[in-house]
Amino acid sequence: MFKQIGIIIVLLIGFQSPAYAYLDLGTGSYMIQVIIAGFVAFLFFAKSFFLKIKIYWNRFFGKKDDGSGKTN
Amino acid sequence: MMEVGKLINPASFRDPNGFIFSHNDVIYRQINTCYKENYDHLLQSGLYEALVVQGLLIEHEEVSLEIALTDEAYQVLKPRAVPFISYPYEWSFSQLKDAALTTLKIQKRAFAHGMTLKDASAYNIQFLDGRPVLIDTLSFETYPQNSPWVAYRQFCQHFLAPLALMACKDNRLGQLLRIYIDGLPLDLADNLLPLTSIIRPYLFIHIHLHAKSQRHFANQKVAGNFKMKPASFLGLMDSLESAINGLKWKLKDSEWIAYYQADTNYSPEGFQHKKDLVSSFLKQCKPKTVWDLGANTGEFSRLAIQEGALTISWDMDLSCVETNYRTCREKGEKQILPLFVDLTNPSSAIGWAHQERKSLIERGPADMVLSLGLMHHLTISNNVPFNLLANFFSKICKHLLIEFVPKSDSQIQRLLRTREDIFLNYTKENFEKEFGSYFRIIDCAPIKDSQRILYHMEKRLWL
Repeated sequence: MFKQIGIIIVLLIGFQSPAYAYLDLGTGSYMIQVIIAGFVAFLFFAKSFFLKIKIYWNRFFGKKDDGSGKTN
Repeated sequence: MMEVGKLINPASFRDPNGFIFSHNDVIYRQINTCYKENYDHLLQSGLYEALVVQGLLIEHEEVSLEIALTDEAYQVLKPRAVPFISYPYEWSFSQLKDAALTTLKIQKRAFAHGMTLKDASAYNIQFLDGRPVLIDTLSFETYPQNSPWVAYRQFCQHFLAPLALMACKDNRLGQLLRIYIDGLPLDLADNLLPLTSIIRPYLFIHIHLHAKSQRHFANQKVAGNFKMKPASFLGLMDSLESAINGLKWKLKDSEWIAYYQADTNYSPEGFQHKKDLVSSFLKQCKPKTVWDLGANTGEFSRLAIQEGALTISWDMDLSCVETNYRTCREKGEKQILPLFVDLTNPSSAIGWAHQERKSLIERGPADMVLSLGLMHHLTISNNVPFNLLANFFSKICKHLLIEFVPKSDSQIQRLLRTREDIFLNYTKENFEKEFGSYFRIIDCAPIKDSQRILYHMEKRLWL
């Protein structure tokens, strides 16, 4: 986790070179997914958790689902 | 050896797994043997059926291998025909957004069936019966366990970046897709987006950080076998969906959006008479395809669909196209496709050898073109002479319904208020003479309470 935060800091303050034709943009797109993997998984679980609580809450208090909750 | 009469689609050359070809004006897709396992998985896993039932993937039937073009063929498919191919730079904000959400929905279904989309090109989505549908059956591959999404970059370039620019900066920036055929470079989106976009966590990750990651790793050798767990993969899909859903385009008032309510010089009776005339000409002609040029929010396009015509509702005002699309979506109208076009610079043939994406003219001709309240904008505002206008119309239609607006009309007087009147040839007689070189005038009728005249013309046979 600390390693990934470190990489993000390097990305943000690092030297910004323009993207030239011979440079491979695919590696960066691959790596960013790996770097943010933990973060997006955490958000996904947190969202799913709160959605379940919301559904349970609405059921418990007899409220109709407003349909705004996104399910997967 | 390719048989005579069978033509490979010039846009279908990138994927070694197969290609599109036409034979006797019917479109087929050849699937090569190297794609056998993926194709079988798509069908046997139930993914194909699930997607087709939900209207997310184009349906097809398998036809005889005898029709195949090469020996590498494993299957030949005959997909359902798409009556009109449109391109992302012709879509409004909500059309591109719906196409993006459809792509993600398909990707999530594919993941649940052990597959993934290997590409996420906006050009693989087409509007069929008013809804976005994936037309590339070869886009699926078996998901290599714990891998990142191979089409993530393409998705961000084709969908997220243009949508973010349209929502956060200016809706006209979607037109950058005309220049960048493989989607917006993320470093460009990173530069163009306002500083405030970094406070949106998903835009910060998928565009700003993504662009910086591309630059950082562009010339670095990356060692190691990096994995992505299923929860992270689902989290990535969910975050992209949230990013897209979070982008809203507030419909702005434009010069044209309230045109019918406030800005026409028709009396209510005159406007109704014009609609009646258009309907009666449509009934006489019974066109199967109509292009309504300068359609505004689609008032007259809806008369065409009442007569059963598939109608492409073109306009150069993005707010009008957006409003028209939202109306189609709300009413469930399947026969109208609202699209953006600037007729002074219409969509041209672009891509490799100018053959990947077709020009406006190449996608015609329509059975009928409606040019209502449009001609004077092209002739007076853009200085297009009658003969060039007639020549252009003759290339895109068989029948033409055109409204002649005389120079004494208040709208033309408005256009001439700040400029010199150099349009000495702009007369009814000259209009009929120049258009007569390309079209036969079948009928004409003056519109009540106005000085305008509606003409029904048919393209001359020798053209």
